[in-house]
Amino acid sequence: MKTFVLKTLALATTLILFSSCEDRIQMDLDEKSKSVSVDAFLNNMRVDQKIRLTYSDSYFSGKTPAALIGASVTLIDLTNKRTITFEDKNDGNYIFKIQNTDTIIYTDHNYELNIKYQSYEYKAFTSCKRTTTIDGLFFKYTDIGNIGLSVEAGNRLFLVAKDVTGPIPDFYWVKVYKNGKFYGRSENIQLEEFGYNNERDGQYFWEDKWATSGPDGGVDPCKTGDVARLEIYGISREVHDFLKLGVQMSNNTGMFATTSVNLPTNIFPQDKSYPKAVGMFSISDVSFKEVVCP
Amino acid sequence: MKTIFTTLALFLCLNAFTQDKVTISGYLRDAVNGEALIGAAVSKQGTSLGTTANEYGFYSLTLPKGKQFILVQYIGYVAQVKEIDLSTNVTLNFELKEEGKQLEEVVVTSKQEDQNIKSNEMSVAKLDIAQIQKMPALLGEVDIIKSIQTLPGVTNVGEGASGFNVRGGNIDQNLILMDEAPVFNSSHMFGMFSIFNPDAVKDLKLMKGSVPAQYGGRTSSVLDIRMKEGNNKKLEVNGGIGTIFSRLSIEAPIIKNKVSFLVAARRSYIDVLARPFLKGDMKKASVYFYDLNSKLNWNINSKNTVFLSGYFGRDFFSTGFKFNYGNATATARWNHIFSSKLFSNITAYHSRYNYFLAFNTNSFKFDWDAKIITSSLKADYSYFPNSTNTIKFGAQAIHYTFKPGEIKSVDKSDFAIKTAFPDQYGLEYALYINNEQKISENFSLQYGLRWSFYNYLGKGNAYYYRDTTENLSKPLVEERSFEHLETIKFYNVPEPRLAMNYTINKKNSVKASYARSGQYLQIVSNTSASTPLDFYLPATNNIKPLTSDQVSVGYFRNFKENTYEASAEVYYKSLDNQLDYIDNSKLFLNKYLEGDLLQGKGRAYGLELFVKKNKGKFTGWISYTLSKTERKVNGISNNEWFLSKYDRTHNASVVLMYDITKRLTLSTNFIYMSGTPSTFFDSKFEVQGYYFPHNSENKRSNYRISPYHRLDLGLVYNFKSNDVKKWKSTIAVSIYNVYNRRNAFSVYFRNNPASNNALENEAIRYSVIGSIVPAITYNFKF
Repeated sequence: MKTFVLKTLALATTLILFSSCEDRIQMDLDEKSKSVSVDAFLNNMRVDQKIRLTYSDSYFSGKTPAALIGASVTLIDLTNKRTITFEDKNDGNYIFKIQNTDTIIYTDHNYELNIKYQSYEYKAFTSCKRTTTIDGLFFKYTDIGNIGLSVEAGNRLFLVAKDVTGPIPDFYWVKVYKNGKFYGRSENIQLEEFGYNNERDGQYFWEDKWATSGPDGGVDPCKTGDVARLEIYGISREVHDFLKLGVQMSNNTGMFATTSVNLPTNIFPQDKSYPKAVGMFSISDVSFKEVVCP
Repeated sequence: MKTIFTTLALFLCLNAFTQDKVTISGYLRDAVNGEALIGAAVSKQGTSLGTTANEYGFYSLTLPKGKQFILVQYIGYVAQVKEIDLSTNVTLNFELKEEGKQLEEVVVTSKQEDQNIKSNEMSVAKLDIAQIQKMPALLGEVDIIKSIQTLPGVTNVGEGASGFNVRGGNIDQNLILMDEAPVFNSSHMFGMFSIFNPDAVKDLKLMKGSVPAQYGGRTSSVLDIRMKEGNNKKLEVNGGIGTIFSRLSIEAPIIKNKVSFLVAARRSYIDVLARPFLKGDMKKASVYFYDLNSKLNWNINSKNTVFLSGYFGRDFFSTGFKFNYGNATATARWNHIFSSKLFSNITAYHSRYNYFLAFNTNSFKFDWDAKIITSSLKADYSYFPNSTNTIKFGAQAIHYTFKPGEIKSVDKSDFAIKTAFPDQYGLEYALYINNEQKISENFSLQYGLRWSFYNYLGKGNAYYYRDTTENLSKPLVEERSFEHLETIKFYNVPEPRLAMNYTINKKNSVKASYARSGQYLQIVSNTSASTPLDFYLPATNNIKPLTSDQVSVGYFRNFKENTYEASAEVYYKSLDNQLDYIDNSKLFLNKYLEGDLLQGKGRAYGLELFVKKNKGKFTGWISYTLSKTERKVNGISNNEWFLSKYDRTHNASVVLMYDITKRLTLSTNFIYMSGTPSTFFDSKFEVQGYYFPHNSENKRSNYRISPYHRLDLGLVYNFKSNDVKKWKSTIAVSIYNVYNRRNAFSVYFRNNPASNNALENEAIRYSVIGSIVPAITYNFKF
């Protein structure tokens, strides 16, 4: 909200008063030191679970970050003491294939992630966070948009879901797919928080999910036959903060940009001399629903 | 500490017993309009015995009985000498004529232009309004705040940034007083223009280091702005028609020499002019501001004067939403002369700064109203026991009400959320005593103590947090309720002040000063530039008061009969308890914000050089500052010192004015500043298909954006005045940013929005002003 307001105010002021300008410039920014990047977002859906290990790369390199191969990756369920080993696919991906009858993720269980490569060792801890049910997912014709700015009229996806009540704050990540394509630009990461500091506990998700998840910031209505899928991931507060700050830092532009800060991590090297780690270890309970645009 | 006060008072009183001496006292005023001449000098001719008029034009000078020649001087005015046979205390008011307007019978003598050498004041920046009016300005609008940024030690983040930074301090560390009432936001249009109408301003003084004990509450500077009192002799109208706004001021006597008033107003009309060129939603845009200064001045009798003044200013924006913000201040002052040796001023003010933000669409309604309300009562006394001491003492109490706001939001299904953020209250009060003492012909001292106290008050809830890993949000452990006026937390800061001057000769002096200051409120902002949405937080049970200790040493020299003045100062300032924030803090609308705050240290040091030419066709000044400003906050930047975003290694200004003819003046400014230290990401990493930016060494201020430099030109033509109608007019043409430099306000990084490749990142230089800005303004006066 604040970002939007400030951007709009700055735009209004500068457009009217002067021709403020944005110029693309060349920057000489070399990455001072490499970090190990851990992308360990697991869930209880019955699909193969993947952990991806890469190295960080220079900001302007334009290349896909190099894969970290040859590591030993294990997941330990600290609640039932089960250890699961992920298979190295030699492309940075470490996979655990879900068997038909097997369940490795249980809501509220505590987990430990262990990563070893060369002589380095990293650990991370989390628990599987509960999600909520999707009470309704439907299309509705609408010509209203965000904050009074006109948008294209059409069918948009609406979500009806309610936070799970209780003393523990809940954080959710809502992912929207249209015809199987995930709208993945960082500005469209949809996060919700309930109950933190006793605010919004048990309340409805009342935002217009489609409008805020479209590829162009909410101006992409659906056509007849389009299939929309919506998933709600229960996430921890640290994962919520990681993603929220990730959105903020990836889109930290304009006159009132805030000080750039690093995203938090829950991956810790077991010795101070080891290369630093970035990334996040998260385990989610997931609910999902699909609808077809009439 | 009581002992210190008592001892100081006793010591000063001892000096007060003087025999065979009498005191002359009175007011020094402008002969044409009756305005008090602040800082005008009165002395026994041919000696160093003398004093200066205070902020209200009052002076008091004790001299031996007998025949004396009294010399009265003020820069830009014709000096007067009066012979008087002193046998008893006497009231002597003087009215001085501006140069060029003198009456034939007045004795013309040399003017006191070496005040910068003789006075204890150092780290003080003064500019005449007449000088400021000659400087080229953005869109032709004379701007006091931008003008003082050409002085050493004063910087700004850039166009579009509110306020100013003094010796590396944050904008909230400047106490901006308009007729003694504090102003919380000194800018219109996000920093494009200052809120001070030049037609209403009489005098301004920026104190950067050597702040006397009567001032307090901020740690970097005091900008003391005095409004005109209103012409008490005849009607005077000033006005101007500018490129984007116009102004008009009227001042006149209601009862000649007794009661006068001033009303000055400005209103912008850029939105009206721009509307035909705007498209779509922007066509409905409304962007304007206004401000209104008013003042009533009543000389009740020779011993009592009352001033009532007010400022009301507001900025409005709307483009499908409504946003407005502004200051309103009301001040009442009563000057009372107890005797020829004791002058008092009682000030009461009420000040309010607020902003209002509202959306109202078919789907969503949102209202946010936040404000700071300040009420104060202050008593200042000036005691002139003899010709070598001037003692000032007094007390002040300020009550703060912080209203972070009540937010009402309603969605399309009429699901309403009403969130009220609790009000916070604080009471700041202080006692002070200060003596300006002339020890010998060449050596003078100014020493004093201000002792400030602060109660964080109920009614309200106080939050108590548990310490955790630095740079993580502190968990709330207790919420405790407090009754109305119940003290939640108490702080006090003793603030000693010392300044000394050793005058080597008429042309040279060496000065030194030390000042400790306390500050009980700080702005909350983590953006490069301050915004009107930034809010102030009081000192609480979780936020300790900010304190600073500053030492300055300077050498002052005048050349060629005071045609040139020059100074070199070095300073070192240390700060404690500066606010900072954890990395993922939620600054806005967060009831538990204090759990996300960090407090750390700061230090700033530098060298300031200044040369000014005061006389002749060719006038102006050159200033240069070499400085460093750093911060250290546990939990940030690996717990190491890092450059403050207000650090400028080099800061240079050249301001030149040349009177081509009697009517035509050419002026130019050149500004150069090192670029703003910035924290840039140098790497990225992959998570869930996103490529998030990363600072591999986790160091703040790891890069500096390109330097800021700019050249402006101005031409002022004075039309031949009509002697019958007394109509005077000028036309001012200005060109801002002559060589069209796109100075970087900030540099930010993003994924290229035109590309579908999530790996294609780019760096963007954001310039608030990306072109030459010409302007023309017509000014008139009658």
